Amino acid sequence: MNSINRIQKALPLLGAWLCCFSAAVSALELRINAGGSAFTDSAGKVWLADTGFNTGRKSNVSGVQIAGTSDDILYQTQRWDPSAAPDLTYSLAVTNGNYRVNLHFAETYSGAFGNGLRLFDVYLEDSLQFNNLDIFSAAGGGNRALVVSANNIAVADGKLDIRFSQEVENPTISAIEIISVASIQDTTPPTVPKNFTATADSSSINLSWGASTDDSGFVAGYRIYRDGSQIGSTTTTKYTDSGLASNTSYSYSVRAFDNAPTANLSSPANLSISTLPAVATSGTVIKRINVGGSAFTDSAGNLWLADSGYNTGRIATKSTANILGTTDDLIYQTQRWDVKALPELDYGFNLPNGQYSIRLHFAETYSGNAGVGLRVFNILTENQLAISNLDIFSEAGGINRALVRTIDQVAVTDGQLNIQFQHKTENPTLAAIEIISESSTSIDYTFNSTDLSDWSFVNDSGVTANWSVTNGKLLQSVDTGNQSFGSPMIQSSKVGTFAALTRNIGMNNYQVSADITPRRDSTNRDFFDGQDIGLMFRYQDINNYYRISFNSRESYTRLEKRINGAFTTLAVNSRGYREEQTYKLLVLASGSTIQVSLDNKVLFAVYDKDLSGGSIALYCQDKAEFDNVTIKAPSISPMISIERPLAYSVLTGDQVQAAAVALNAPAGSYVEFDFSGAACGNAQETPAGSGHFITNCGSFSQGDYDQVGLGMAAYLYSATHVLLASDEHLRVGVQGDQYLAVGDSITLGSFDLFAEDNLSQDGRIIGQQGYHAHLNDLLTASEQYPSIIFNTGVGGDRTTHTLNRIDSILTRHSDANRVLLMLGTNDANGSTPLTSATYLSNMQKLVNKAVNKGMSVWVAQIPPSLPYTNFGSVNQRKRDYNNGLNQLTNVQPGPDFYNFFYDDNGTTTTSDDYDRWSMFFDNLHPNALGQQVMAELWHNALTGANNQPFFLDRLCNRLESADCSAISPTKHKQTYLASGYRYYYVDKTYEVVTVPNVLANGIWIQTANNELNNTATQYLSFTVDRPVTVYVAYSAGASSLPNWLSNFSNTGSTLTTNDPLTPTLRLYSRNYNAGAVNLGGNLASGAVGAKSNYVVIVKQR
Amino acid sequence: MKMNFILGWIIALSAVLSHAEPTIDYADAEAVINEYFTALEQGDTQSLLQLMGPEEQANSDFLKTDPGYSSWLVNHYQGANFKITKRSRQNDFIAFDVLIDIGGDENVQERIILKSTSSNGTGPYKIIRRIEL
Repeated sequence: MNSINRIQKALPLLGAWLCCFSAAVSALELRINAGGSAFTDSAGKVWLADTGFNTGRKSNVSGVQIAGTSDDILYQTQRWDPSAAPDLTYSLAVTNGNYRVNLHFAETYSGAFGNGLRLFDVYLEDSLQFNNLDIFSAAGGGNRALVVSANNIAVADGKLDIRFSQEVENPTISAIEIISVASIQDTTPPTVPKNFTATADSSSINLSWGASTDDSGFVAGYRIYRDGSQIGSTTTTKYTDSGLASNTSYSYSVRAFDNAPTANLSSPANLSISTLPAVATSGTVIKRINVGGSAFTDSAGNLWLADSGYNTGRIATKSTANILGTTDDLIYQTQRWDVKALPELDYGFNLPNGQYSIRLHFAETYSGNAGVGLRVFNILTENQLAISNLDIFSEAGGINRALVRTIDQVAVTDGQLNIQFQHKTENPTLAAIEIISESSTSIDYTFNSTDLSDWSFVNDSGVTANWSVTNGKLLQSVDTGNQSFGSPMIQSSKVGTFAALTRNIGMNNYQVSADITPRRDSTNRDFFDGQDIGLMFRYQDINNYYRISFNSRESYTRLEKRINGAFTTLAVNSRGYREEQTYKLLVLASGSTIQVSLDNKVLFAVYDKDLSGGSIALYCQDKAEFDNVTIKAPSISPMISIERPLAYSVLTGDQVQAAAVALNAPAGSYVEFDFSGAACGNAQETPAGSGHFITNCGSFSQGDYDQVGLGMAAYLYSATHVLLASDEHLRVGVQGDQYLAVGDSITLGSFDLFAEDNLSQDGRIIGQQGYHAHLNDLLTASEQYPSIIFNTGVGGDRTTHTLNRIDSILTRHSDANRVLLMLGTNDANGSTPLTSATYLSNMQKLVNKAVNKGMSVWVAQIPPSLPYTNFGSVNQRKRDYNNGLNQLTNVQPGPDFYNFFYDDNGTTTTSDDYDRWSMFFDNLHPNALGQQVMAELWHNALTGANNQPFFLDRLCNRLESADCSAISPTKHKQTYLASGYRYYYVDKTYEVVTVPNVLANGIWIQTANNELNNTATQYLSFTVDRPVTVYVAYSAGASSLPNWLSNFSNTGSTLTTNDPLTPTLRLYSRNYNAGAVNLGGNLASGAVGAKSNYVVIVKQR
Repeated sequence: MKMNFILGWIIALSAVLSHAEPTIDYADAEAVINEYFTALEQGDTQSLLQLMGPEEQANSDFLKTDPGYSSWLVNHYQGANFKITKRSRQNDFIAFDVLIDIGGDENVQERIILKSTSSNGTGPYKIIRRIEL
């Protein structure tokens, strides 16, 4: 154990001291018990009585136990200096040479029990060795032994001067020990540090250990090693290693060293520990502040905001400082420090109440505080002490070293997060702040309170929206996209209203999810339901953001970006939504990768670099609800998502090209693609390092690739060929047709209120109106290869409007090969109708635009306005238009809707013509049945088929035309009824409540309830071209049926309604062959007691 | 003294009125509609275009490119009866539903939407869209 081999041959001390040495004391060592008497310590060393000083007083706390030593007496007596001048100085005569000086202290004055209450400097040979020494702080409390040591102090004037200079309170010294360096042959190392432990978060590891001992009496310090390399040293028993990678294992060693000239190192204490996954502890960073500096983006792409939220302090800049432990020196080169204790530096941030973590970044960059204990301060969060006695230099292990301290589970209950920095020694300083939401590592909005202060509401369409918290959801209730009141269209992109989250401006990489519910404006559908609803993300301002939106009027889902006001579509399919249904929408934005999932299934994945950060916004055009908005850090798991071909898509050629984006892929990983079970070509990462992989899979035969394992598959493998993630897109059609339906509100399907037939059987189309889903089914069935139709109709469009938007339509659907064009209704109408020449010129221009893109164009003859007696000149224009369409070049003839709905009997007179107005909702727009008929006629035109659509012809109300010879004799309608539109009379708003399954897909004749008292034997008639079953729903409250109904059978089924007079209708049926069907009046002979008119439903047999 | 009292009331009343919600004044916008009617009747295609905002102008290019359109308008609207049937306002938009009876059973029903071109939304107004009703 004798580490110091005392050698007598070394230089003697001065004779004044020689007289006093005992035989056991080496002449090469000098020990003084300051303020006390001579004594021999427990190790047998002799300490001289206090001597060699110039001033000061003695103190003695005999009986007080001193921790950290077995020689309490040495510390119970002290010499302290109450006067400012001269400084207490010990001048000890020694032979010239180099000496180690050990100074012993203990804070025994209870009035100085506290950090910073006694501070003084120590000079050796007039050289500052210990600046602002704080005994209490350095010893870890009162009545605790502290030894500080200085090596190789050179003496050239025959005396060694030790001077104590006041800073705060009075200097004091317990004992002095001087040892000639030449005499030291210490080869015994300190003991191994005990109880070496560590704690970790995602980016730093805190090491601590028990103190070592050394035969010299004290340990000089500890060296810390990470993975075999020294990363720092400290004189304390803890060390923080910052700036580490998350979820990574590290090995650490700590070795004590002593004061021998060539420091003896203890054996190492070792441990291994992993940093935590980033998401597990860091949640979502909702704010990053570059304290004392400007906004900047760090090496990981994170945006740091300029310094804000402080109440006081000054800025310190060390722009050339090379900061160890970080790749982002800039964060640490600017700091805010606080010279005054009143008020203390306090950062305040308005945040929703909840749990947060705070990451604080520090570095000691001021050389004047480059020492242990020279800058010490406390940190309080929400007025609670969170970090006490933070000593940046000590914990970081030196100057210009990054130190990150995390304060977890800070509860904010007053809407503001406060972080206060409290003076202890010198001035608090801070380099950066990160605030992390800890609420299940996410920010959540469940709208259980009416507080919407985090949201900003924007009316992008010019129509004022109405956002409110209603029934625990965020509700927007105004139709802001209704064009009938001027809502603008930006080419074919939409604008409406949105609620932007204002507090998360600093976010870059995150995933946001929300429950979205497109609502009807009222119980029943209105004509403008089905407009956009979605999410905006990386929202920077009204002209710059990404947006995912769903629309059921035109039936699409689009991922778009808006850059400087201009929209670009990144991905689109033909699938909208079902009203009143709640969808879980999730967007993951990480780096240049964007992934969109709907109801937990990845929908789109794209690689785009335009916007790297921004907040989120909830977007809609019409009534919509939003709930459970959650924002959190993106998953760190490796994943891969196919970018193209999309699921539910159709490729028009035989070549299949694939692309996918990989996220969180470890170094060396790679991607493979399969299509139809066959391997594609080698995938290239484009650009390198992007995670965006593309390849060509080759040529494939015509068909729909919709079987699991035979679709488009992408696999992400590790460098060692371990499968990390995969994705598959099914229902990819090859060598199919991709149609664009271009037109106005008739193409759009306005007033088609029967949504059930707007879901194509192959799943490619989800809409609520229009002919395109039904046509898609007809084409798929007849052509035996896949088709897809995008409905791009826009209500109110004239050819002039469409000419202004056609380029954006063709760009958005660049793979389309066919166009179904039907325009002219609005050109022929209004106060300034187009002449035929202008109309036809516009149509030819539209055709040419598509043909120049390599598309084939079919042009339909536009339907008439009905009843035509009211629209003579308009219909004349339409006839002129239609006649001219035959002269267009590069077109193929589409269906003749004019003559179909006009029902011209072919004679030269019009008085014997009929019409099919009963399939119109109003004067212009085919209703649900009319749209199905249009699909059939389009199908005939496209395929050459000659299928007759099913409808009730010559529908006649004999109250208006006794012999059914008049033009438009009926106000009755024929259509389909659907959820959300269940009116069964043309003149009442009574609705059917329950309908037996047997009536599914039947055509309903909406009669007039005010004709309930009709007693004629012939009231209603129509013809059919095929065998049918006619169902009559007659008042169940009637005591007797009309005689004409006696030929019908009672089915035993009933319909229920909300008609208070007739809540139940009993269902009677009769089969008819092709030909005429004549039905009598509601109260015709035999009938008694029916208080409401009957309704008719017809089904094919 | 009595005069001062009355003057004070007048000033106070003016202050109250000046802070009241502004009532919708359709006069300026309605004047545009009447000019529009006149231009239709007279076949004044130049004036029709001048009453329109840029987007509607862009969609009505035929008014200046079709040399026969002026005479067509004169013929079409000869003896027509022009009427505003409804007017409404939302934000900066003012909408007039118009009925133009051109004789027989025929008529034109159209919604003409105008928007103020001034920053405070009080006019002058331009036609930004016409929609068939």
